[in-house]
Amino acid sequence: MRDARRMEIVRSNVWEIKKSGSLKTLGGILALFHVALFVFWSMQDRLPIKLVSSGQPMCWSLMENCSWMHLPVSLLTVIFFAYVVFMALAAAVLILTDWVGFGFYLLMIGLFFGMSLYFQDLRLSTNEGYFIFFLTFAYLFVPSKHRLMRRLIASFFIARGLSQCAPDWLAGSWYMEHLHLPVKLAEWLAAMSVLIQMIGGATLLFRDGRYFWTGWATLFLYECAYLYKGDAFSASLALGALVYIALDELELRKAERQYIYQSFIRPEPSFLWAGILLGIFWAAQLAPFLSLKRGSGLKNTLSIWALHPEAAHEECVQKTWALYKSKTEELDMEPQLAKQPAMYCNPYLRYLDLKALCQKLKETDPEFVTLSSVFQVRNFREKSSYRAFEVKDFCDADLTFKRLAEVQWTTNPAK
Amino acid sequence: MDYESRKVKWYWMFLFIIYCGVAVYLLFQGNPYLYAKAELHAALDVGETTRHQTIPLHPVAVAASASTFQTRYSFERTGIDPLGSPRSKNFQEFEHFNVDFGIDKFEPQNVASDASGFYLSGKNLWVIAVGLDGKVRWRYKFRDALTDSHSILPVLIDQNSAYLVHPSGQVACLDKQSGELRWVLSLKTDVVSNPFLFKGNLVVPTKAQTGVEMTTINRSTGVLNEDSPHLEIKPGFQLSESPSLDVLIATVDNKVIAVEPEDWQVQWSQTLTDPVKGPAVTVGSQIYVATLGAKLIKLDGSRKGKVDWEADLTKPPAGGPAFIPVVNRLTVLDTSGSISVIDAKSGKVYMRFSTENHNPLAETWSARLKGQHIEEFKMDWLQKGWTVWSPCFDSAFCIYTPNKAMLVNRLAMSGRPVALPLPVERRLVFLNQNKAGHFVISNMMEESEIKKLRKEQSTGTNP
Repeated sequence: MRDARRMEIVRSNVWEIKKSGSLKTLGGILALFHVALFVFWSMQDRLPIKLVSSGQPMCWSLMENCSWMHLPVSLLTVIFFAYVVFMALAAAVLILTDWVGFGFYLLMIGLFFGMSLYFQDLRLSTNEGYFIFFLTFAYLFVPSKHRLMRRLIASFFIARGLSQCAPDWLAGSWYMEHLHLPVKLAEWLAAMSVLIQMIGGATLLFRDGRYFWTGWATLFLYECAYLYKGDAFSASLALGALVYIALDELELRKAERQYIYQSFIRPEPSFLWAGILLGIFWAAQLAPFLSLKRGSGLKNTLSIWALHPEAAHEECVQKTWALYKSKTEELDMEPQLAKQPAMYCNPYLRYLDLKALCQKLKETDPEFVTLSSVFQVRNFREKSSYRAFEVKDFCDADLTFKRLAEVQWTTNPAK
Repeated sequence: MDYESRKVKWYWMFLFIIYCGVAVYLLFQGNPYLYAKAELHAALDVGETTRHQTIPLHPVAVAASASTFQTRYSFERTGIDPLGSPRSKNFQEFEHFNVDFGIDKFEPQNVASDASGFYLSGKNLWVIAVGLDGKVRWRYKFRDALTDSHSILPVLIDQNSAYLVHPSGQVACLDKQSGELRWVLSLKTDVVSNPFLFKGNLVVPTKAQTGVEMTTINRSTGVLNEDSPHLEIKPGFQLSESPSLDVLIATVDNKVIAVEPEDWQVQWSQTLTDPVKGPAVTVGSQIYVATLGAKLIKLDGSRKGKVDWEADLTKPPAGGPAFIPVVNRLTVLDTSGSISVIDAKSGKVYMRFSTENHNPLAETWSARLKGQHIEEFKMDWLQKGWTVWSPCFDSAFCIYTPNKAMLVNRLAMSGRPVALPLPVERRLVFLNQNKAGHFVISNMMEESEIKKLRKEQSTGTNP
C-alpha cells in the first residue's frame, strides 16, 4: 500500500514534467548545472575528496560529531565520478529524448550521489551549490512545479539582491576589485546591481509581457556582463535559469492559445508543499534582518538555509599565541582550506584549524604547551564585534566546539 | 498551469510599487552616502571601538604598583644611584654569565631592568627577559613585522607585570616572573613616543591628526580609557617629571615643554636654538638639558622655562646629564669621551677630563663613596662622598672625584657595558657585550661582600 503510494507520488511528478516541454528542458538544464558543479569541484583538486582526506571534517548545522556520515575516500571517489556520469546522462536524456521517466530517475540518483558529496563538509557549501541542489530537489519531489520553479528562481534573484543590500556590497569593493573603477562609480554600480536583481527578479512573476520581458532582458544583460567580468559559474547558472523562465513563459502563452487541447486527466496539483518550501526559503533569507541572537538555535537553523552574502558580510580578527615552556609567540592564523569570503569568518573553521595546529605543534616541538586564541567577528550591521571564542588552552583534549562558549580565558579547564 | 489574465491587477501594481519603494529604502539604508561625497567604506570603519576590546575580555586584575624601572634611575632622570648610601670603591667582578638568547640576530636596543632581571627589546619582534643569572626567563614574540625605522619600544615594568609595546599599537601585559599573558590590547594606531607608567595607568602616546593622543590604559584591567587626553606636541618627545612643579617636562627637537599631567595641557614651552639630546633632568624647579649644539642649558621651571644659563661643551653630548647632589654639579659625557663638570647654579664649567670611553654606554651616574675613601682621596667631607661614575676605557667603569676629577678606581668587567648598571642591594649588575658580540651579565660586588660570600661558601662546603 505504502509502495503504491510512493509510486503514485513519483508518477504524478513525472506526469507533471511530461506535460510541459519547458519543465523537461529545465530537468536537462539542472542536470547540466550539476555537471558544471562537478567541473568546478574538479578544478579545485576534487574538492569534496580533498576535504574529506584532510581528516578535519567540518560538520553541517553545528553537529558536534559528523563522523558517522563520512564515507571512505575510495567510496567517495566512486560516488564523485558516478555523480557526473548520471547527471550527464540525465541531461542528455531530458534534453534530447522523450524518455522523461528514465531521465527523472537518472536525475534522482545523480542528486542522491551529489548530496552525499555535498553534505560531507560544510566548506562545500556555496550559493551555487545551494541553488542547484535546492532547485533540483524541488523539481523532482515538490508538486506544482511550474509555479514553484518560476517563483523559486525569482526568489533567488530577489534574495541575492536583498543580501547585497548590505553596506559591504554597497561600498562597491567588488567592482573596484574587478573593474578598477573610482569609488563613487563602484558604489553606484553596486546600487544598480541591487535594484536590477530585486526589481528585475520580481517582474519575472508578472504575466504582463511589458513588465516580464523588460525585467527578463535586464536580468539577462546583467548576467551576461557578470559572465564577462565576474564569476562565470554563478552567471551561467543564472543565465540557464533565465532561459528556462523564457521557455516557460512562451509555453504558457502557447497553452493559453490551445486551452481546449490541454489534458486534465490529473487534477492541478496543490501548491501547499511548494508554499511551505518557499516559506522556509524566505524565512532564512530574512533572518539577517531580524534581530535574532547570535548563536541561538533558530538563527543557526535558518543560517543553513540562507544564501551566503555576496560580498563578505563579516570582518574578523583572530589573535593566537603559541605557548611554549619558556616563550610565547603570536601567530598569524589564516584559514587553511576554505578561503571563500562566506567561510572566512566562520568560528568552526577557525576551531578546526587551531585543533590541527595543536596536533602539529605537539608532534614537532616538545617545548610546546598549548595555543591561546581569541576570535572576534563583526557584521557591518552590528555596532560591536562579537567574540566568538576566547580560549586560553585550546589544546585541551576536552575542549569541543560546543564548549567554546562556556570556556572563558579566566575559567580555563586546564588551569 | 496558470491561465489567469495577463493584465496586472491594480492591487498587484500597488504592491509592486510599495516593493520597489522598500528596495530603494533598503538601498539607501545600506549606503546613506550614495548621493554624498563621503565614501561608505571609510564611514564603515569609523566608530568601531570594539577593536579595542581587551584580550581576554575580563582579565584577572593585578595590582599596579609604581614603576620599578626608570631611565636614568628616576623619572627626574638625574642619574643618581638609587641606593643613596655610601659604596666601596673596590668593586670586583664576582661572577659573570654568558647570555644565550636562543634567537638568531637578536640585537637589544632598549634595556629595562629591576631586581627581577633585564628586559630587552630592539629591532626584532622578540622581547626577552633575562634573569640575573644570565638565563632567559621568558621570550615573547610579536606578530606584526617592524619597519626599518622602528623597533619594539622599551619594556615598562612594575612590581608584577611587564608591559610590551609594539610601534603599531599592540600592547601586551605579561606576568613579569613567568611571562604568562595577562592581557593584550590592540590600539590599531601607531605609537609615536615612548610609553610610560603613570598613576596606575599605562600611557601610550599614539598618532593623532594633530599632536598626540595620550592613550591611557588601566594597567590592572587592560581597559582602554576611551576619553584619552590629547596633547598638542610633536611626536617623538621624551618625558621627565618635576615633582616640585607638579608638571611633566617634555623635550622634542629644540623644544622644552611643561605639561600639566592632570588635564594634559601645555603650561609653557621654551624654544632653544639646537635640538635637545635625551630627556631633561629636573632638580627641584630647575630643568637641565643638553643640546646637540654642544651646550648644557638650565631653564627655570618656576619662570615658564626662562633660560638661566648656557654652558659650552667641547663636543655634542653623547647622553643626558647626571646630577651630583650636595656638590650641586652636573656631569655630561660628550661624543669625544670627555666629561664636563658644570656648576648647577652658575653654569660655570669646573673642569673637563677624558674617560677614553670605548663602551656602548655613554652616560654617567652619581653615587656616594664610603668615608674611608673620602679620607683617602682628600675629598670634602661636606660633600658626603658624592662622586662621578662613568664608563671608561674598554670594558670598564671608573670613579672620579667631583672637584679634581681624580681617578678613584678603574674597574674592569667582562665585556662593554650597554646600559647603566642595575643596583641590586650593594651589587651593581651590568649587561655587557663582549668582543665576540655575545651578551654577558656581570655581577660587580664590593670586595668585602665577596670575601663574606666566599667565606660563607667555604664554611658551607667544609663544615
